[in-house]
Amino acid sequence: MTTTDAPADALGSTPAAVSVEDLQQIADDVWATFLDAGDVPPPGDDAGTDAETDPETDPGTDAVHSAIAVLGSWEGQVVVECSRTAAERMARQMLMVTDVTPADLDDTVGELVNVVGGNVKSLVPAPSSLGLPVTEAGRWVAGGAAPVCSVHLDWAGHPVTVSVWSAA
Amino acid sequence: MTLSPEAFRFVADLVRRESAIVLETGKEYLVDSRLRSLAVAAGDADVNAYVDRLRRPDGAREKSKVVEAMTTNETSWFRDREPFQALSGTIFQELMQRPNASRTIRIWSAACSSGQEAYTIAMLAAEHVVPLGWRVEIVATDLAQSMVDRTREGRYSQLEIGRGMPAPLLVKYFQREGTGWKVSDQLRSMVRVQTLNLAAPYPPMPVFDIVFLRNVLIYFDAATKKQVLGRVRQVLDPQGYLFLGGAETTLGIDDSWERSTIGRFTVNRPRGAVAAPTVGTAPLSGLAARKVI
Amino acid sequence: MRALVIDDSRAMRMMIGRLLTQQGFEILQAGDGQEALDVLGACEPHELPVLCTVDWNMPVMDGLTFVQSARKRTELRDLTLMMVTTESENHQVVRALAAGAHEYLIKPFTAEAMADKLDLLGLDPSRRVA
Repeated sequence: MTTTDAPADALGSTPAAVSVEDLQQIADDVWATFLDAGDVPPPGDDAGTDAETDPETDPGTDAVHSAIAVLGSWEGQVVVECSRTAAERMARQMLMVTDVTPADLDDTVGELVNVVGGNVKSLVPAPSSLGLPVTEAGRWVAGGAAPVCSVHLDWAGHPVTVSVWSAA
Repeated sequence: MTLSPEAFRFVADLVRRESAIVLETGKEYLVDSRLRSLAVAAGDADVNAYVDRLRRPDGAREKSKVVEAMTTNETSWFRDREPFQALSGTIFQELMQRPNASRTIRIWSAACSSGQEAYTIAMLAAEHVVPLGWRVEIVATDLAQSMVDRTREGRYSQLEIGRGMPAPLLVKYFQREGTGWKVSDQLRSMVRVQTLNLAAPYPPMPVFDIVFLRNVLIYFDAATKKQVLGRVRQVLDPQGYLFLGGAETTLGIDDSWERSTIGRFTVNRPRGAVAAPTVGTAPLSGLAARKVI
Repeated sequence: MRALVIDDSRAMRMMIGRLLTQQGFEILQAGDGQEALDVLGACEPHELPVLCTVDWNMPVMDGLTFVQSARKRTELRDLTLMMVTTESENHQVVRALAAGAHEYLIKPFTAEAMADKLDLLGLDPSRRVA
């Protein structure tokens, strides 16, 4: 064991090796591949009307978030947060359904946070493992967790926030 | 706001010129999504406004960012597969059967772009040549300093690695670094990188056994093609091999070459070279690993 | 030509299924490793898929355990197993290959990356016809 990467005794005091640049790269890649440039372009008429008839841009009014735990040498949470409208559109696109059920929404946002979380996990000290995603209505409440970094994406006109928190 | 046809055409021409990657009509959404963050960073309202900026005289720096954004993730490892099957299954063996006091094979990856071709060759050499006590020296060149720097750095994003890298070779020759992967010191030590303009006289070069000149000639006019082939001929061993892209040929341009077939693949050789031994194409190590139980 | 897509996320099964359908596959689905073994067990020999895409982290039976189980069954010896997972550390790829996976695709990935993997495995449409 070297002195530079020896884990500290107290949980959460090990510096997480997740920078804003890393998180931005991960988030951009996830949304670009799974929800944009992957196979087919999103239908033009849908993209147009949806963005125009959707007046809310503040996810706080009707938000959805999904959180996944990273457990092991480093412990914390990875969180994806967006408006319900955005989450429903993501679900429609990924699941190719017209009517989105609560289960569809859980599954879609949960899988997005799962993929982001898996990539974040590869940046923190091993060994570590991922929990299962938990998707809930409303804003994410950090509780005692300490912010590590967060990034904002614009997905088809909808703000999406991706953040990493260390357990304190 | 959607990308205008003029803006798309401008970006497609730029990318084709600088990287030999063709963006077909229908890929407008790809251009739009890849350039959106660059537009925001430049303070432009949308991608169309950003493309207008590229057309201005001071747009050169932004242009190189665009080429990088558009070509990232578009270059495959083992691109086209057959050339590399011919290389590892036949040509390496043929070269190692020759008398060669230095037991060294020299290969040039011309127009190396971000280095995937050079490191693909290096991986095959590390698998098939180095274990037999031979050395392989690879020279990778590109016109663009940015591409030379990227090749030298040897760091690839997760999405770049996803393009055709066989998993057994990934874990053998790359290490995770941040969100991406970094090529091993072993491969890096086999590859020397420098800038070079194929269309101008070359600096002193070693004599190569193999030259990879793939998907480059198509961007030159007939006279330049002939000049480039002539200069390549001067640095290639009379018994050497020239790899061109699938849509490229020396026919009708320079008659000092002849075609030789290895399996499904056609390679070019200086006229008068001894025919390659007819060896069946062996499967690439680490590729098509199925049926192993 | 059939492919079995194993992933606990329905969104991911849909996405992978779409990409494989474009490559000419008929798609079977399973939500975990045990369900996948059940699906395979219910197939007549001529109905068996040629390819399984395998997520790692799943409830009931994870992907690594599934790969180990599938590789022990002689009737599945022609089955090509490709991990498609968010597990992206070098040592995880090594573990999956040692367990018997043939290829490994890290999430997120592009449609082109999936096509490249099928090409590596000799399962792309142009080669299959030949």
